[in-house]
Amino acid sequence: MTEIAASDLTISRGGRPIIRNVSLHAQNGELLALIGANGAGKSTLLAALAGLLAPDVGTIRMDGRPLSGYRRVEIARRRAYLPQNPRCEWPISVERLIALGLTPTLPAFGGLPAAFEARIVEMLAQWDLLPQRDQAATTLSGGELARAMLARALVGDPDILIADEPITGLDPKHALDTLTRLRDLARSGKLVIISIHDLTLAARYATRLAVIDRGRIVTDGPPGKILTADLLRTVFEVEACVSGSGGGVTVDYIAPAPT
Amino acid sequence: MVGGVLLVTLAALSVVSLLAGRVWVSPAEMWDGLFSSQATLASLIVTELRLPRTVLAIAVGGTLGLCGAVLQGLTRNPLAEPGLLGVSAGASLGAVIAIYFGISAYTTAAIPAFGLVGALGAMALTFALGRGGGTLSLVLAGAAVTGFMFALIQLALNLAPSLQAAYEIMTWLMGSLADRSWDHVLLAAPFIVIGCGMLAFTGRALDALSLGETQAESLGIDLQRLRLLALIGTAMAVGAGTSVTGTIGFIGQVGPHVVRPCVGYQPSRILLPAAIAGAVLLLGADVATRLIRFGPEMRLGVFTALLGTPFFFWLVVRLRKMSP
Repeated sequence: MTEIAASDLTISRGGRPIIRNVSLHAQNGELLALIGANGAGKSTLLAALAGLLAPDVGTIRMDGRPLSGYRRVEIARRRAYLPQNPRCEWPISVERLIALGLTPTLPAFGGLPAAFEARIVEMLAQWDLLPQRDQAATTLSGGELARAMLARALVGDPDILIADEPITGLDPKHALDTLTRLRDLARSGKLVIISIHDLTLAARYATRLAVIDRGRIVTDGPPGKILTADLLRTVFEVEACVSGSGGGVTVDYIAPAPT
Repeated sequence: MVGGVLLVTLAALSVVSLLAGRVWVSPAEMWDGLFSSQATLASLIVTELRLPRTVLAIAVGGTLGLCGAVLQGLTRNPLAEPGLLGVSAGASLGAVIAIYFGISAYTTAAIPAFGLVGALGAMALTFALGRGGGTLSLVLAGAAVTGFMFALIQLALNLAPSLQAAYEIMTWLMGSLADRSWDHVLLAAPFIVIGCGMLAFTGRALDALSLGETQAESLGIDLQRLRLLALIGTAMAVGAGTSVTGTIGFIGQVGPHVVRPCVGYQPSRILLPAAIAGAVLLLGADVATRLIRFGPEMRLGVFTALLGTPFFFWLVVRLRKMSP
């Protein structure tokens, strides 16, 4: 059993409140997608849930214990975090890049223990990166890099994966591939929390949507119930046609909503 | 593999360093000097002049190479060098103060001791200025401290009480290993050992930093602790080295670049080879200054700068080609 619970979070950056009175609960088996307009506070909330940003007010608990009560490394072993557009700044090989995900479990000094090699090869195979094994990560295509980063995040077998816009910049095939893998991950008993702009894909793959608007969570529930033309008008300020139901929702944008 | 080649080169250079100089010593005399208790002129030259000089070249060169690799990893900038955080300039200012006020005339330990104090003072200033901010604040603080220290050095030159004092300051600033004794080694060694020990423990965090600061933090890395470790380690190791030798440029910048083509770009894997490469480069440069003879012995810092700048040109051209 893994759960994250945020209660009454308020987070300011540069004196400006970004997150206001947000409470959110998520547990293993869920693929929770945060949706909302640019600047609504999705990234800030994800960073806070990952323990990278301390809230000004409120608490975030992982399995009932406040995040502030964990050591940095303890959190890092249990949850993986991927920022928006994760980068690799030195031309290290894909194999080495994935190995960096093991950092929280490695001793402070020395090389990579041989026991971990098998796990890295397993991840390379699972994420279709065996041909790129020795390639410099800085020369990968966007889709390959996204897969390598997800492999990096998951190599330590974390209970929780928090990924900020994991499919931004990916072509349809890679976007679908990534979301399928994330959904499978949730089905295998992990907790996956992402932010996403493609509402059709969000509705199709997420088990639950949380809609964030100007720092507040306005609604939260299964995609089929949440996504309505009304919501799109008020939160996203677009006129849209929402068709289908359950897992087959399709959102067609028509025009910016008249203000 | 590359480590082995570098170590063999270092050993060979060490032997040459014990033999070469104004007075050449034969290998047999060197052997006697090192391993027999008979005190001859040659044995004195080997044990009291050449050996401490060689040990210092290896220790200081190794320190510069290691520190360059750590700071390049910390800033993720291939142009970073050990003077980045202001400690080298602080060490120089300390030494200049010792010369300016004539304290260096009383004891040979004055220059390195004042240099160390200067380095630690510069470290404290850099820390106070850059505290709480990110790596960029630390680097900016280092630049500000360097500027301030050099302004004071120029003030000392400006107000130098005599031409002799100004000349002494100028030559010290050029950097040299000539006439360094065991006293210098003993004074610098503890700081170099502790400083390098601290720098050696940054490897894991520097690796994680390849993914940027946010991802590194998400992997459990304490970036504040890493910056502090790098700053204090640099102040102790490079501060002590600079206090003894004067300013020696380019070794710390070039060392990591020499080994990257062989060991790859992962920061932790570069640390040790970069240290050995730094030692090879500095010892080689010191031997070369003794072998190249036209007029007075060329100052080591001048020689490394002459050799290092063309390499720097090449690096700039290569980076320019890599950027779109």
